[in-house]
Amino acid sequence: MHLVGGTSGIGESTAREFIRHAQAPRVYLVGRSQEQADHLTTEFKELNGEAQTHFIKSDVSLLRNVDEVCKEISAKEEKVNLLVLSAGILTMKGRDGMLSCNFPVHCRYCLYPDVNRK
Amino acid sequence: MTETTEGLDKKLSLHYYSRLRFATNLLPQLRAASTAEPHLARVISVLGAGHEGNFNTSDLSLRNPGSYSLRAAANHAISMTSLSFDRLACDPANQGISFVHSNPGAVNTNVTRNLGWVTKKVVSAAMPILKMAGMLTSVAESGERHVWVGTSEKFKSGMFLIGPQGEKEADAVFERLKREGAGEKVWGHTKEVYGKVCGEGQKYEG
Repeated sequence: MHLVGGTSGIGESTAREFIRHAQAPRVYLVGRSQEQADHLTTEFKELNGEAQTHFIKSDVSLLRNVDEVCKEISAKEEKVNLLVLSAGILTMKGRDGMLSCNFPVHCRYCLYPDVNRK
Repeated sequence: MTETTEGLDKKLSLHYYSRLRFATNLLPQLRAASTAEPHLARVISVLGAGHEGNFNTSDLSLRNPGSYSLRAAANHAISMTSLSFDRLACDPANQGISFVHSNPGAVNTNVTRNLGWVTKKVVSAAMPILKMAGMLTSVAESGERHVWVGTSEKFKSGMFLIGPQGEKEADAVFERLKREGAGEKVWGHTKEVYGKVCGEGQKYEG
């Protein structure tokens, strides 16, 4: 399974759960933090010895960067199973006074290509 | 409003334009995945499904200072995501792909780090209250839920608006926006932005 995900927040936790349950998953983490990505790569390998994690460092708030990232991914992968898009900046939706802390701060996208589910 | 060098609001770019660009760029790979074992091809945008609202169709990118507000930016990103995902799902070429717009609810991520001191205090005070009310999801659990949404047979093909518990979100507003033709306007506008920024390498100026 191929997942493209992020380096923190919901993107990160989705990638983690994915790795835990999938057979030979290949994960692309797209984000700005090399350090975070390195931690996750190590952790994911321990969680699932067959996991392959690739980090693409990019600021995806720019569309031209998105194009570069996609070019890189499509050169390596014929198939993408899961594309998890969770990059964002906190906004406060205050209509009913509740704070909705939905969005992780760092850019992250999860693509999980070619998974064989357990 | 924070404008990127490409002429788009940064929030709107991260929440809508950038995500849609990922989805449209990778359609060939998603299509290939949908026709091969295990026939799984899914795009999930973690945003705010169910919170669509009336939005300013004459200023979709919210470039006019008077139009812009945090709420408008959220509204636009959410509504445009649902409408464009629907558009993609309705394309027969994308038959085996599902497009999921998720509302994760309140999740305890480390999301407050960019906020000011006072707001941070308010947010951390709110967390235990939300937790007691059963409205707070841990990051780990949210990850599990999103993997479930990403792999469950329930969401095999089509467009879905999904809430924090994996339930179907209210879609009356979305359906109305669609009936009113907002989807066409959004798609046309999105293509225009992509053409200008990605096609021509120019700044988008409305």
